Amino acid sequence: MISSVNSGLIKKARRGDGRAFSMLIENHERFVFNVVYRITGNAEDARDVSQEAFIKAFKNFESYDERAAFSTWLYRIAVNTAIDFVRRRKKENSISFEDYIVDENNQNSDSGIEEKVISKEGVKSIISAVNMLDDEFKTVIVLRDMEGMDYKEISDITGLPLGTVKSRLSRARGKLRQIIEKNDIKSETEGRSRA
Amino acid sequence: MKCDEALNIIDMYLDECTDAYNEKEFLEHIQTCESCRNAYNEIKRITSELNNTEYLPLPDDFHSELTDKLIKSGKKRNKSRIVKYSALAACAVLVFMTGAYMKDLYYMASSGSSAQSADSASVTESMNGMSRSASGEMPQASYEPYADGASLEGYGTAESEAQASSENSYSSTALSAKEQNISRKIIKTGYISINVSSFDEASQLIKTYTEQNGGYVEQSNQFADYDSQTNTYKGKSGNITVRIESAKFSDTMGYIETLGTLINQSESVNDITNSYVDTQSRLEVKEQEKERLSELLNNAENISDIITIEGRLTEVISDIESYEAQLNAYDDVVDYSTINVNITEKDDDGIIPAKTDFANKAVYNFKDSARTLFSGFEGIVLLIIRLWAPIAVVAVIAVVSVVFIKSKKNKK
Ligand SMILES: [Zn+2]
Repeated sequence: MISSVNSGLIKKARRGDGRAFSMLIENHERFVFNVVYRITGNAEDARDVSQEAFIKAFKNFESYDERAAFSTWLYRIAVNTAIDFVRRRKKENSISFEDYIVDENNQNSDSGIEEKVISKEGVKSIISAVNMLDDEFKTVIVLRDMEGMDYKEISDITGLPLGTVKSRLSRARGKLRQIIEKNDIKSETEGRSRA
Repeated sequence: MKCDEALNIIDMYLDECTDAYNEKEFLEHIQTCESCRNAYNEIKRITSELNNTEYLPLPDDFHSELTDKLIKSGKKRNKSRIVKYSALAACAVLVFMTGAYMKDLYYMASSGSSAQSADSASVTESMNGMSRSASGEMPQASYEPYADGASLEGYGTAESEAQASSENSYSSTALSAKEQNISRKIIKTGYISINVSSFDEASQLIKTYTEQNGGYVEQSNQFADYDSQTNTYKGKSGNITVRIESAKFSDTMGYIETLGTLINQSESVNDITNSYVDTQSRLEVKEQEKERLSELLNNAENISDIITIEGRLTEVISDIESYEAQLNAYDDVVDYSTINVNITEKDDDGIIPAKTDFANKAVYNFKDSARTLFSGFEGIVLLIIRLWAPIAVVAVIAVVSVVFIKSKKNKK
């Protein structure tokens, strides 16, 4: 539910007023950008993809039901757009996949990398470990463990049944643990992502 | 508890879903089983580390760039909407033109046998338009427009519609007698068409009777009728819209009937109780929202909140005003019935009185003179219509197809 204060903006945005929609989403921009960043694993991509998601949301604003939470609706579009992007990118990159080497810095480490193509340098941060998960696992890890959403919210955003969210999260954590153990990532080595 | 069972519980335990398992058993197992304890600690470490990852700041120009994109894509939407509407409008014109062309042909075929004046047709049409605007519904007119005046029918309808819209304003004028109790809300509308020997006398009698009974004449008009063939004056005709207390509706209808020869009479009853109650509850909701917003406004902490709240408040207040106006309009039409009277000056036996004095002729209002002008240059006008309509049809088809192709291209 958008607060009643915003419903004037909603009306305008529904009529195609881009400025009104921009005001409506302003408080969500950083969140959406970061969710997309965590799924795509790349800041430059995150910028384009999150903007693409906002425009998609604007164009489909008629489909938003005001009884539902605006943020959930928005994040669902953002998460789906990000996953679509990652899948597209994976297809495009599949030829050079074998040669892929994870960036030393991990800042630009690509998503969708499977364990078999992990570079010799190994995985140095938990973030890069997350980026090695398959999309379906990465999404639940990002939403639950990085964004702190509860199972219900994740279920709303991904459209997965609650039970699937639980089991997928459990499997995702198990896989993450394996990746981390294999690559011997130590929490102390993480400078960038520590609070 | 077994190990695989415990491993499954780790996630739920960390996510504080404590109702799905036995927490005590789980904790006991973790304490005694080293491998499960390690797994638990590892996952706990990973999740807390993930939880502590900081948000990246938004790129500097993220918001402005996005806003630009949104405004652009919004404009595009509006454009495509305009294209849609103009295509629709073009289609409407096409239909209208085709209709005019057909009528034109029809007129040519039947022009020889026109017994009634063309003016009567437009008067009747004008009456229909008026009653529509008066009741807000679409009452079925009980009399047929005279078909012989077909070529002028479109003209008369367009005119009466303009007239109707200019007279719509009465419905938003509030009446003081607002009843609070929710009895059935019923709108009564009557239609009477009479022939009289003197238009002026009859209309004066109606006005006097109405005012004596606490009602009023809402609107009236009159036309001078000319025979379209011979161009000779036939007498006056016109419409009077009377508003009378609902209790006196039947009496008033009965009185008006006695003023001349009754040609047609009908009544329509429209129960608006549901719409009325609905509007009342909408109004209540809006009033509550207004209160809430006022509170929010008092407690607002920054300018952007204040601007947003004030914007919303303005909308709510305007909604409240329009609901109130709606209720007042309902009250008005419920408390005061509408009677539309159509009066035509004619002798009882149907012979047209020979009133050709200049004063009567001078009564023309704008519409009459326009119509007279029209009938004077009828031949020329008809010629123009005949030549114009086919050309317009072709032109409209061309425009529609161009618009269509363009909008298709835009989509791609
Ligand atoms: Zn165990």
